[in-house]
Amino acid sequence: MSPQTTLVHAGDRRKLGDYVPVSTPIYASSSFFYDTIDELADVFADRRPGQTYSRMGNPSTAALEEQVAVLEGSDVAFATASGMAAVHLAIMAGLLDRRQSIVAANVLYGGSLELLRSVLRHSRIEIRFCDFCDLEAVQQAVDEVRPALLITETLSNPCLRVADLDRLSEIAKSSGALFLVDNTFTPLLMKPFEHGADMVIHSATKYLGGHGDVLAGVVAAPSEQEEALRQAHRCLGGNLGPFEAFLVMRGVKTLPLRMRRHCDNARMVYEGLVGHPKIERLLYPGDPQHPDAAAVARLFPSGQAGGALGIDVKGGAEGAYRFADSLRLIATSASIGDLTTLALHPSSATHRMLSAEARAELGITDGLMRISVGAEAVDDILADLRQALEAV
Amino acid sequence: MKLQTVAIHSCMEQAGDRPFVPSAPAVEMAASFHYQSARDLTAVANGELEGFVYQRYGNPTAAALQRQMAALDGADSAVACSSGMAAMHIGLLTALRDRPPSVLAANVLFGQTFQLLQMMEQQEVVTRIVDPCDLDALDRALADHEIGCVLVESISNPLLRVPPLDRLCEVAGRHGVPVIVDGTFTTPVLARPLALGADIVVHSATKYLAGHADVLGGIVACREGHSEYMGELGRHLGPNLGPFQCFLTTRGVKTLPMRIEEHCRNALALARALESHPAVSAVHYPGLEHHPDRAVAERLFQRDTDGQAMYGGIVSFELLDAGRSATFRFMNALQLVVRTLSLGDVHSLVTHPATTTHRNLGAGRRRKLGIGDNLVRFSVGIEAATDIVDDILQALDSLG
Repeated sequence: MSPQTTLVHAGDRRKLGDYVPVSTPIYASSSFFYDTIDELADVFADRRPGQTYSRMGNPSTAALEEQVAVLEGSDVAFATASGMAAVHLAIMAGLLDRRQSIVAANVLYGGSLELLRSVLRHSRIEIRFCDFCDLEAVQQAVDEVRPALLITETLSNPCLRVADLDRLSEIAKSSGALFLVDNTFTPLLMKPFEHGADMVIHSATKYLGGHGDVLAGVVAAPSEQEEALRQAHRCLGGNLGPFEAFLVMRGVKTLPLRMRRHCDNARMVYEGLVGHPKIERLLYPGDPQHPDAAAVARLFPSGQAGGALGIDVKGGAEGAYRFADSLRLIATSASIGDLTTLALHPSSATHRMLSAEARAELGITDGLMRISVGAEAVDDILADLRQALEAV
Repeated sequence: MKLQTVAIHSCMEQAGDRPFVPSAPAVEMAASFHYQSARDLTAVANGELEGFVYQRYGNPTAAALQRQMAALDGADSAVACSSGMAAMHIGLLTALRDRPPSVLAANVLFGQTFQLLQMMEQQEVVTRIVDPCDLDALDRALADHEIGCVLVESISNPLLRVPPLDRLCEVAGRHGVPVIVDGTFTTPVLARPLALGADIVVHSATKYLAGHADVLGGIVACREGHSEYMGELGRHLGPNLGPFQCFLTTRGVKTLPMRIEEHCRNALALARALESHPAVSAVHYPGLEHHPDRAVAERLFQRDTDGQAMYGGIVSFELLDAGRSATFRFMNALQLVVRTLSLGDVHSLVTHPATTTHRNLGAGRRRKLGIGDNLVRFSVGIEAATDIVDDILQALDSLG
C-alpha cells in the first residue's frame, strides 16, 4: 500500500488492552468504529449500548454526565456547550408536545432574560414574568397562563433573593407545569430535586468548572424527562466538546472543597463589611435580616449561604465605578464562581439591556456591585475591598 | 487572493501593537476577560471598544475560525457552533426572522435536519417539501404559499443530486424569499453559495472543514443584513464551539483546498471503477456521464488547480439484488475503509444510510426517496486511489 494510504490509518482504531485509564481520556473523535456494520446498526437501533457519533453521545461527555447526575441526585444529565445552551435545551425539551407557554422569575441572569424576551418570543412562545418572592403573584400568573414550564434560579442574579423551591414546586405541580431550576449559584448547597424540581441546570462555566477556563452547561433530570431532552439535544446540537467535558469533570472533583471555601470567605467578607460607612446596602443571603431568611434557614446548610455578595456602593454609578477601578487583587469580569474574586457592575454589564425603570423595580441600583468571592485568603480579599471603598 | 492562500492566512492575527504574530491561533481557554476598569468592560460589551468580555460573546480562538470561514465563504460574518445541527438551527432562525413561519425544504436532506424541522413545528413553523432540482415546482410552491425561507443541500445526502443553486436562488429572489444552503458536501472549495445568490450557508465543520474525525463543530455564515441577528442568536442560544475545537478546525481548513482536490480525484476514480461492475446496480456520482445533474455540477463547481472538474468526495452506490444482509456482508469485508458515521475525513469511510442517518424516516419514506437497504454511501478519503478501489473491489468479489 502507498504511504499516502498507510499514513492516514497507522496508529488509529486500536482496541485498548485489558487495562482501564484512571481518568477518562479526552475522546476527540467525531465518530466510532465497529468490527462489523451489524454492531453499528444495533447501537443505532438501541439494541446494544455503544457510541456512534459524538453529537449523539461521546465517552468523555458521558463521564461528566454521570458525575453531574451523582452531584444532583438525578437519573440522567446532558452536557451542553454553555449554560445558555443548557437553559435553551431544558426549555425546548420542556415545551415538547406541551403548551407553548412559560412563567419565569423576573430576576434571572441577563442572558436567560434575553433568551426568553427576544429569541423565544419570536418563536411564538407565550412568556409571563413575575416576582417569584411573591407567591400569590406566581399562583395568579400560573392560573392565567397555564404554563408548561415554571423557571427560576435558586439564588437570583444579582440581587440574591432566595426562591422558596418547596412552595414554587407545589404551585407548578398543582397546575401540571414542569419546574425548572437554575442551580448555578448554589451547587452542593441546594438540592433542587429534593424540593420538587423537574429539571436542574447549571452554567458549569461557574462553580462546577471553577477555574475560569471552560465554557459549559448541564441539564440534570429524572428519567421521565430523558427522552424529550435526548430528542431536543440531538436536534439543537448544543453539545459540549470532549476537551471541555474533561476540564469540567476535573473541576467537579474539587467542588466540595472549593464551595466550602467560597462560602466561608463570603460569610467573613460580609461580617467584615457590615456597617461600612461607604456601603448603602450589603446583600448576602446569610444576613439574619435578609428578606428570605426563613427560606435560607430551611434550604441552605447552616453557615453556608453561597459565595456571592452584593455591595451597593454609596454615590451611585460614579461610586461603583470608582470602587471597581480601585480594586487591585479583584478583577472586573462578567463571570462568577472562579477561584479568583471577581467584581461586576450589573446595571452596565449583565443587565444593561433592561430599562432604568425595569432595573430599579428589580433592585438593580446603579451603585450595586456583584462580588463573586474567590478562594484566596480572606484577609487579602477584605483588604482589597476596604482600600477600594476608601476611594469612594 | 486565491482560495489556497486565503485558507492558510485568514485565521492569522494581523500585525498589530506587538512586534510578533503567532504562527497559529492561540487556544484561548479563558471563560471571561478581566478588566482594570469597569467602564472599559461596559464599552467592550456595548461594542464601543474592541475586545472580549466573556467566551460565549466572543473569544480570540473562535474569532480566528470565524474570520477564516467568512473569508472562504465570502460572507459578511460567520458564527462557529458546537455542531452542524446547532449551525443549522441558528441559520433557520436567522432566515425566519420577521418572515412567515414556514420552510420550503428540499425533499432529500440529512435525517436529523428533518427532525429539527419537525421539532420546530411545535412553534408553528410549517415545513413544505419540494424537489430542488425542479425549478417549476419550486416557483409554484413559492407562488402558492407564504414561505419564510428555502432550505437546500448543495449536494443532497445520500443520493447526491445537485440542485442548480444559481437558478434556484434567482427564483427564490423573485419571490423575495431567502435561501439557506447546507454546504457541508461542497465546502467553499467546490462552491460558494453566497456568491450564487444564497443568504445563509451552513456547514457541519465535523466533516471536510476539520477533516480529521476529531472535531464536532458547525459554521453558519451569512451575507450582509443578517449578521446582527445571527450573532445575537449565537450569543443567546449558547451553542458555542470550544476553543480547542475552533483551533483544530482552523488547522484543518488550512489543508482544505488540497484535501478536497484529492477527495474529488479519488471519488471520480472510484465511481468510474464501480460504474460497470456486475455486482453494482447503480452508482450515484455527479461526475458520471449519466448523472442527471452532471451539467449543473460542471457549471457550479470550481475546478481544481490542474483545471480538472471537481464533483465532490462522496460516492453512493447500490448493490445488485442485495438485501440488508448481503449489503452488510459487503461492508464487513472491507479492510481499509472504515465502517462508521460521518464523512469528509482523511480516511475513506462507509455508511449505511437506511440503518443510521436516515433510519428515522421510516421504510416507506426511504423507499419513496430511493434510499434502499442495498444503498451504501462512501466518503472517499485522501489515501492513494488504487488502494481505496482495490479494497472495495475485493469486498465486492467476496460476495461471490
